[in-house]
Amino acid sequence: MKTQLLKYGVMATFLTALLAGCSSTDTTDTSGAGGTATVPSNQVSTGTAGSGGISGSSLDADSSVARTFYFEFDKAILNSEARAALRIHAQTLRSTPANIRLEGHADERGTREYNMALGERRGNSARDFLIQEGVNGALIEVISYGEESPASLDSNDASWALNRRVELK
Amino acid sequence: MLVGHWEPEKSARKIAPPKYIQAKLIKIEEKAKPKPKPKAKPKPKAKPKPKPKAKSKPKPKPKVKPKPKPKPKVQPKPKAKPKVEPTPQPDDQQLEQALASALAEEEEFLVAENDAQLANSYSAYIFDRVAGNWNRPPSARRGMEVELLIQLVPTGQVVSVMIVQSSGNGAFDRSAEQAVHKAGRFDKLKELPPRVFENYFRKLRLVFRPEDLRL
Amino acid sequence: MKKIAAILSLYLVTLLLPLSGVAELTIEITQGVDNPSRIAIPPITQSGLSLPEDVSKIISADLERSGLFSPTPRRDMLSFPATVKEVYFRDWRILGTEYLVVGQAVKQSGRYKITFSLIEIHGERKLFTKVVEGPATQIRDLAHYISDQVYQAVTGIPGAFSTRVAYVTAIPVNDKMTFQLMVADVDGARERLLLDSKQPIMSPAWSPDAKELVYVSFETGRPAIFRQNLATAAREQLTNFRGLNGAPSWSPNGKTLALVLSKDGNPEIYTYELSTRKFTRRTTHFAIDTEPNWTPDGKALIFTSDRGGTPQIYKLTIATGRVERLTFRGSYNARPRLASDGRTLVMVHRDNGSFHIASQDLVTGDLRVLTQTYLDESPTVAPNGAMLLYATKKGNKGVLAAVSLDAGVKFLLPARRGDVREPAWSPK
Repeated sequence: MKTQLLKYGVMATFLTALLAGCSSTDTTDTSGAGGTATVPSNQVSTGTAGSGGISGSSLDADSSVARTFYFEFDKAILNSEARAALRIHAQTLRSTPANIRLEGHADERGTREYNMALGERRGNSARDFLIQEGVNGALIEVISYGEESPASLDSNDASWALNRRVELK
Repeated sequence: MLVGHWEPEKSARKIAPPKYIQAKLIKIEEKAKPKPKPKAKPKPKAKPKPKPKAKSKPKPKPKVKPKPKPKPKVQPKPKAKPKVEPTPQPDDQQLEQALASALAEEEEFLVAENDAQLANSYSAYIFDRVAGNWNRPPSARRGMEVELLIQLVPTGQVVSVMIVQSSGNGAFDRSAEQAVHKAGRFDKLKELPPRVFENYFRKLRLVFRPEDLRL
Repeated sequence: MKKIAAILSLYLVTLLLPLSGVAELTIEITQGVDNPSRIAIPPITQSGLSLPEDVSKIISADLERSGLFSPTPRRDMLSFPATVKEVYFRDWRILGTEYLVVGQAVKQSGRYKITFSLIEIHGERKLFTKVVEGPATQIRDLAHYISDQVYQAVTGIPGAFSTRVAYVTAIPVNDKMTFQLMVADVDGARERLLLDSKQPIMSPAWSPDAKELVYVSFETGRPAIFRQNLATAAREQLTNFRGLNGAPSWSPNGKTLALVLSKDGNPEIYTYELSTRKFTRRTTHFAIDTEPNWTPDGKALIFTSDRGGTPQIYKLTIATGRVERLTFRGSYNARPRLASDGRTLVMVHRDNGSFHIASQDLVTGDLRVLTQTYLDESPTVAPNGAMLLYATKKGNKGVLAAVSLDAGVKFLLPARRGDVREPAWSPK
């Protein structure tokens, strides 16, 4: 899993960016847990990543903190990277309140409506964490897409890891 | 988006070859009581279906034994081989007669036993042929039963098939009839001595009762 | 005078032989074979003129797809009888044909009338003669009707060839997905587009009269349940709650929907009265409760819940609110559907880490994995209970597949492009 994720140059770049923000982790941990690394998924379509990676320069300032958070199979527990990134978002939202959407997703395994529920459960985890961090819950809408809107279309572990996610929008 | 007519990409139903039936005679036991129909069909079934036994002829029993006294019926014969009954005061002639008749009886019995074995092995052949041609419909279930009466001629040709007791499922009944029609002719019956054919195979009852179905 | 019972034990056979007199020989046939019936359907024409569609070909294809028939190829036929009188039984016996369907059509003011007979070759008898008629534009319906009649006579089960299937396709267009809700005949013909959207479409379900569909569409940016009439295309949004609005299932009497809402915090099962528009919450549990489906008597719902730690199937009796767990084998059993017998449960079952369709007999508890394909989901049972459709993956593509409930017949229904998913077999 580690090598598979690190193959994507873009991920390595983002991981580095994230690590700079929170001092307590190291690279091995982030990618070790079955693809739970926190990377912005909109940059990780299989087509582009497979062709050798995108340079970090394509990032704009707003997305410098991860906006996509990854999960284990059939689980909705936020990992430490996700919590770290959400803390930073919470800070921003406290100072400049704005409406946000948390879109929960699941991988294609399991049934579609159950995955809708799972996607919502993941979105709710992120929402609850933000509220706990002082964000006004009224600003947050959770929408689940279940397995209907995958980030990666392949049917393999790496792809599924990228699809079990919550996107902050 | 679908291909016009959904062609089965593969059909996996396999053609089951008719299984070979191993026939084995395990025992022949003498039933003492000359009850009209012991019919000890070993059915492990709850409902004792009162089958209309269409045995048409009461058939004058072949006189096997002179049987001097009509013995009380209740007394069953204890042994397998019929023996000369010890008559109270036998004179020589009587004895001789009894002996001769006993011998004849014994011989007849041996012939009959032989015939039965023959009939058994040809029954296995018929089972084999019919079962191999019995294509059950998917609505067939364990516990269904249809009884056919079929008539044969010595060439082994089936000349008539009649449903004696329907299963209540038309498709199931038809599958049984069709199994017999498809078998069509039981050629090997030609090998039988006419006596055995007449005794056992002129008229034949077939009870179709699937035991190898999942449901 | 002696009766000697010879008890002969064959392989699974017992018979009884009396030794004297005219024998009452009974042979019990306890075994058989389960082969497809060999059937021939010579061309059905209008006094030699071909019809707008090749009716006998449609019937052959229908019957073959059921797995229970093996049609004789037309090129092997020695003659093309159109009536019972024209049948030479010997010709068909030589081919090994067991059943023969003959028919002829007449056209009267734009309508076709087909008279057809089913003949049993070995018994040399006609099983029935029937007539069906309809407009020239619906000649396929006439063919499917004939297939249904033949299927029922031979198998003892009603046919399901006149039914349809609804499904969702997802087609990548310039890196974006386009979603389409489709309906087609169950043989894949006469495909019709019902809805086209850039946003996901999910969970189509039929009304019991097969005239309407309910489904989930994200077209508003959120999941919402819609109802759509197939003939008029009239549609109506039924729900617009915060959170999940999903998994609609139409009650057998047509009056109520079961569905899932998470407006109160987590996914719960609700019923919705179509006439009064009243929602009633039916489950109360902090776990996921979803994928409700009605029992054929309309008195209970079966659904998926992870209240026991893993997704399993439960049954909720509506009158009492009592919930009972139905599945115990395996760590993932979800999206239940009941066959019309009310006893055969089909579901998605995880078996050694992979997802397959399984059936469970609710009386005996027997569980059977029916499929061996990859990532199998969304089982939907034919109204006659003989077969089910499901979605699976072939390569990276979603395709539909079919399997008979006895797992004896399996085939894929390949699509031209895109993903095909979530089949829903019409109830009639």
